[in-house]
Amino acid sequence: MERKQWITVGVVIAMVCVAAGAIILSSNNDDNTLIVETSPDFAPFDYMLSGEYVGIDMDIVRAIANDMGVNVEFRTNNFDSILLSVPQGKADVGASGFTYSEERAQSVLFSDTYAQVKQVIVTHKDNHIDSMEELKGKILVVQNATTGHDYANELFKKGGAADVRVLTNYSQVVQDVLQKGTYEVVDSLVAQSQVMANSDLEICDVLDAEIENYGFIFAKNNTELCEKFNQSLENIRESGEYQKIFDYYAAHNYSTDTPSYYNQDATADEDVDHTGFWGDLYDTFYNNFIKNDRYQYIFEGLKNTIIIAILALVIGLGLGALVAMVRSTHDITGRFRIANGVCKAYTTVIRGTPVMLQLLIIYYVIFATSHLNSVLIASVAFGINSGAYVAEVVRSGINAVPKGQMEACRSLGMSSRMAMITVILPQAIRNILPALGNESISLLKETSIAGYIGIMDLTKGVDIIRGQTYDALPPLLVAGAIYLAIVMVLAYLFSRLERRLNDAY
Amino acid sequence: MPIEGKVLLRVRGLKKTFGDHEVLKGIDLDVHSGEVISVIGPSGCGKSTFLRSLNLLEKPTEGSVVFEGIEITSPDTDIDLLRRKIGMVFQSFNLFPHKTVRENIMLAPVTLKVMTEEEAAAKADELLGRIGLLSKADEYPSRLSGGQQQRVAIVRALAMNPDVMLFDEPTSALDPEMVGEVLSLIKTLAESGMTMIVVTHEMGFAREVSDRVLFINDGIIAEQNVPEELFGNPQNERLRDFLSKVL
Repeated sequence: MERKQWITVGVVIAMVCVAAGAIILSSNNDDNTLIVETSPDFAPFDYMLSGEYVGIDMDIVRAIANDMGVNVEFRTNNFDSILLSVPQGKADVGASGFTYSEERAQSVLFSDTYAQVKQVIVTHKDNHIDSMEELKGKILVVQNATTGHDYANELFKKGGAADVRVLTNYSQVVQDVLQKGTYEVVDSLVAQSQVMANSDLEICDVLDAEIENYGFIFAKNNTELCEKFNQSLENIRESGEYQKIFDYYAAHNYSTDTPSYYNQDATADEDVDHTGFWGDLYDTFYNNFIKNDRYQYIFEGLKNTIIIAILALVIGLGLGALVAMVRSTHDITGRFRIANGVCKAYTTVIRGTPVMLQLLIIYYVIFATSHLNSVLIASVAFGINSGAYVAEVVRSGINAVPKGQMEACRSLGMSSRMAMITVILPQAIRNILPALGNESISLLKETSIAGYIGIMDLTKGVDIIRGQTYDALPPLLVAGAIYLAIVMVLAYLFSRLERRLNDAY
Repeated sequence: MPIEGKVLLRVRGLKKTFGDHEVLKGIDLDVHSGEVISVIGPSGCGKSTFLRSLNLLEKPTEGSVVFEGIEITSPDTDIDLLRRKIGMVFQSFNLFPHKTVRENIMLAPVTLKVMTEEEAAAKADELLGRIGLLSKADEYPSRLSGGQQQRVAIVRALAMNPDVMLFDEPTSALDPEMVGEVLSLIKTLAESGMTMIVVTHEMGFAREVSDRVLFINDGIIAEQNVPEELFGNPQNERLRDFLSKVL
């Protein structure tokens, strides 16, 4: 390698180290800060405004933390995922409108009730119903693992509905109701907020549902924190602060533009309303990206996407090269029998199962009790996944080098390791460069599922915007354009590198 | 048979089986220092396998090969060390395409630390000068003709200062007009006293250069003799048949 290439390699390694270091440092876990996970698409309880966590849950948690004398760090995760990460201690508290149920109480600890709601139906105005019987033959839609989900399942079993459609977040649910004419089963306060945000929706209070009690959730063994929480909840009830928070949100009609009770100056930006094609276009752009600094979700998400992709690529290349070396050495010399078996099992399992499952297993099973930053865990997961593909690519690249090359080296007295390093691998790299380019491109796109372990990557970022505007197309288009742009840059860089190597000999 | 000098290479009872197919069925041979041996025979008779067994590119199933008093077939032997003294030239040249001509010659001596970078470069230039290819030293092999590539491959093997050279059909992959330059280099080498075993289809060359010619058929040495006798007065039925086809 020439000096210039070494410098490039050095710079890449340094960048990776800095990124890894930044991630590790940013994951503070001091005792005086409560990590609180929420799914911020559940207005008026949990939502985001100008990058701040807002809603009844959030403000009550703030009041409680204030009473306890501790700091709060809010984090985003999927609703159903919070029920896994809190018991594992990845977060101290789950605050996302968790309804108390016997079943949930098996795995988590519930605080005292801080809010009461009832399940109702939300649907498009055109699909109004007056009684429960009219739901017969209709499709119900719910957010996964919510109380509404359970209720809808009951209804379905009793023949009260044709089907239950389960989605991961409320923005998807509302989209479905508006576009497909389905019926959402949801908590009454959330329903009010959704109707406030979208005038095409209406509430049909036709269900025979019971009153539900919302509580904060803790790990089973964390009774100490739970008791402190209950005490502070009692304190803010007595001081009247609790009621003030509820009154405040009610006074704003549970609108998704309501800022935090504790930061009322941070008023939401006004909706703009222009006319004509360009005016509409401007309004769409403004509402999706400028209003309430929503572009920040895209920037923040893009940052995480790029960090994960780069770290995973480096891990994947290292792991893949190692596995390929072991397997090729075994093929040539017959050594490393056991290591070869392990490597073979690794590539078979990883390539034979969905990357989504691997991510969930690595996050919730293998790193179950780890407090490592989830971006780092995701990088490891994607790196392990990519490594299996890289290994096969490198191996086929090595196999594509004519046998005579190894024989020529050996006949000169060089060991197979020397031959590998000086003769085989340099030629293999040229063979595999196009395939490695493809692998890095698909790796980048695969990171879009990082949202499932509570990371706000680019895809999750636009999902959050979607959850606030209930307008699917613009954020998704922008995310698509950004992915496409990165892929095109990558493809260009790889084709240049290829050309340079091909010109060499 | 003009056999002089000490025995450099001693082969006893060499057998090689691929699956069910026994390619070599017991070969005995003594190669003396300075001797030039040609190996001829119909294709598939096992002559290449025999040659490749001599530096263990093929692992013999049975029998022994002793080189300079050391049994190379023994598991205790460091084969890499012995191979430094056994040069080999392949039918398909096998130059390293990502290295320049000079680097091709320097790679093994430098990697194996038998020469410094400067010594190896000087050696490479001296060898290239001898075959008239010094001007190509900085070219990549793909820019050379087949004949030039094979000559570079020969001096690449010579750079390790081997005691014996094995040639595996060195001209079979060449265009006819390039065969001459390669054969004349091998001939020059033979005249310089290098011990050589050459598997070849070039009967004229075998007759002119060799001290001894082996005819391998069906996995055994069916006949061996000085070239005048072997070509002029073949005894073996199969050899006569073979010669009638190739001459």
